[in-house]
Amino acid sequence: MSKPRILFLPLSNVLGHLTRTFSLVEEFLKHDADIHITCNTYYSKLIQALPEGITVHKSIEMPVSSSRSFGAIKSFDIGETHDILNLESANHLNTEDLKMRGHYLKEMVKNDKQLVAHLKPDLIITDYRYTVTLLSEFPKNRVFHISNMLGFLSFYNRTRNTLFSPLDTGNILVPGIPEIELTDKKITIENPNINWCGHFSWQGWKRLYKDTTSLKKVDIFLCFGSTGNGATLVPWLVQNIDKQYEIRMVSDSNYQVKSQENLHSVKFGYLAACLTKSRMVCCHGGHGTVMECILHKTPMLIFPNNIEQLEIGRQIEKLGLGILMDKPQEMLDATYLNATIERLLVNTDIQKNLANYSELLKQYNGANKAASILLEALVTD
Amino acid sequence: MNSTPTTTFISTLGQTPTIAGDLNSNLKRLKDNLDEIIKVLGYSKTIDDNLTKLDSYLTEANTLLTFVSVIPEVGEAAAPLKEAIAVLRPEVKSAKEAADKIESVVKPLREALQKLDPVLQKLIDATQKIKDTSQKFYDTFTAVYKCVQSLPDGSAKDKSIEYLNDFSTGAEPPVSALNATMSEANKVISGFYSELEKIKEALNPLNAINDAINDVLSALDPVMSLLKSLENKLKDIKILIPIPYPHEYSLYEIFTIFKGVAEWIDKALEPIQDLIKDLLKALNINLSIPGLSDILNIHINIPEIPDFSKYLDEFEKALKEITDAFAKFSLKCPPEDN
Repeated sequence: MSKPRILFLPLSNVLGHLTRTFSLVEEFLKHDADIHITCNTYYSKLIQALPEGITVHKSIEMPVSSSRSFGAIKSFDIGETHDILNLESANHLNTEDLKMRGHYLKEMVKNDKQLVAHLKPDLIITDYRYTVTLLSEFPKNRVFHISNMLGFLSFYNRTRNTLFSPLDTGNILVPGIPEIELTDKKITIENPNINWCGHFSWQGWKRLYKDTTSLKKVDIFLCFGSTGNGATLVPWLVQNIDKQYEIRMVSDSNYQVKSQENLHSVKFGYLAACLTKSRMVCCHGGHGTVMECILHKTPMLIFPNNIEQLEIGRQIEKLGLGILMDKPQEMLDATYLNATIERLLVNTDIQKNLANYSELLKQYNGANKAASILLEALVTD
Repeated sequence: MNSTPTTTFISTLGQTPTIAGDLNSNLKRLKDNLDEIIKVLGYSKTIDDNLTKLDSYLTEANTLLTFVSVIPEVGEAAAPLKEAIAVLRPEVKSAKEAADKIESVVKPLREALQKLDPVLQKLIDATQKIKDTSQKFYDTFTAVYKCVQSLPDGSAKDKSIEYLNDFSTGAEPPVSALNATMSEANKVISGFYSELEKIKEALNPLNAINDAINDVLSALDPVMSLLKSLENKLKDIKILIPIPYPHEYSLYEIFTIFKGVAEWIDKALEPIQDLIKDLLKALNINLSIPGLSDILNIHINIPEIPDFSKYLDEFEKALKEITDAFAKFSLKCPPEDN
């Protein structure tokens, strides 16, 4: 019997989607499978860190700005009216932008269609690259989608009382756990094909950045992912955080920050090490970052940059794992910021909660479980 | 025979019942046909209203067809209808302008005629009374005259002839004037009626054109209803498009912006497939309006409306005068013995 052929189709120019797909891809190396993944060149350094035995195909992606501009927060307030306002804002694109994306979508579908026709994979795993749902010839039960339930999905469900296609009926591999993601009783998800797997943690970072011993402990780690608003927040935070705190930021981002005594820098990619060597983190509230923070028991001060991150930030605050900055940056001031930092650092409940949820999270090996589900699907059909 | 005041009066009085009768008949004809005339004069309003409605329908249909033509198969099927509308619209516009002009002149006449019935009835009554009164007195007077003529010559006959001549001299002018007024009125009313008949004849074809317009409106109704439903669905039904994250877009936007992505078009077609089928069936309609351009050739002259109230006043006044004059006639024949 020939090896099962598995094709991964991630949204490859968004770090979170790419790395969690990588973690599942690498998990499959333990099994006898013919593994293919499509990526564009935006994170080529990360692609180079993939182990041998994985065939990488070049893919077309929309410009990076297309994903980074998604879901601007119009209102930080809670309630249906504000949810609708935020959803409508997320939907709004100017005609030129829309046409540009339509053009890309057409090319992406064409490209993926050819690849699927050529490879004839046994399974396809997507991570927010839904071109495959348009390939009517490929059986839907052979497609699995990596998606968290918390975030845009839970926000959309609450606002529109439904899920969107293909996540409304398709197979979902959730890189998370229900204890963290699904505590809101208003969320009614009827799709029976949801598989809670646990956090997908990519080990490739360790291959990229081996030397973490020189990192000294700091108070605050400034960690804003690709969909965060680090460009304006990091300089503002460095300037306004009380100088008594030692701060660490990522050095190879293009942040306009002047050096100062309490500011330390680290190369991009040392997330786990930085989290373990920080008393707290200021972050955007992306899925990957938040899960790593929980795993490493680092209290979070979340500055959301889009409605998904706002949704995640609210849940983190609700679970007692951090504090959500529920105001836009222009409404923040140094006094409020430092008072919030102080409140977070002295909060022992948050420390306890983080310890509990970290233990819970460690019980799952997300990528391993997802791989088992996929292997089972291969033999069932 | 030599004419005398009496023979002249008899001749004049003898015409009065006939003239009054003719006038009475003319008035009755006008009154009896007034509703029909008003109805035909109303065609210009009906057709004007219907052309306005059709013009608006065609404009809206054209807009809707353009909107729904974003769906390729609908666009293809709708093309002949759009073309038919493009041909018909200028024709309707010209016809509507002509109908506007016709209605603008017909309307005051129609409205004036709608108020005419009571005064016509009074005129009919007055002319009938003139006819009866004049006929009755004519019979009495001629009987007396014949009797006087047959009397043996002598003073009684001479006195009677003198009385008759004196009376006739006095009664002749109002009766003659009445005859002239009635004849004049009769002429005017006949002329007016004749003009109305011409207008009626000119406007009569509008009825058939109007039926044809109604046929087109009826044919358009179900199409419009389907087009509006489809327009609403295209605007209201939204699906999520991953670009790259899910964005809600209306079916219309999907057909417009993502037309190159056949798979999304298929997805967008799903919720409106039945409606499209119904619309494709309904699009095959005939939009021709035979005779529509004939409206452009309708030229009508609006006659001056006779002053019926003035005639009524004159007739009533004249009737009183002659009634008073006739009442004075007291000659008996054969003469009573003293």
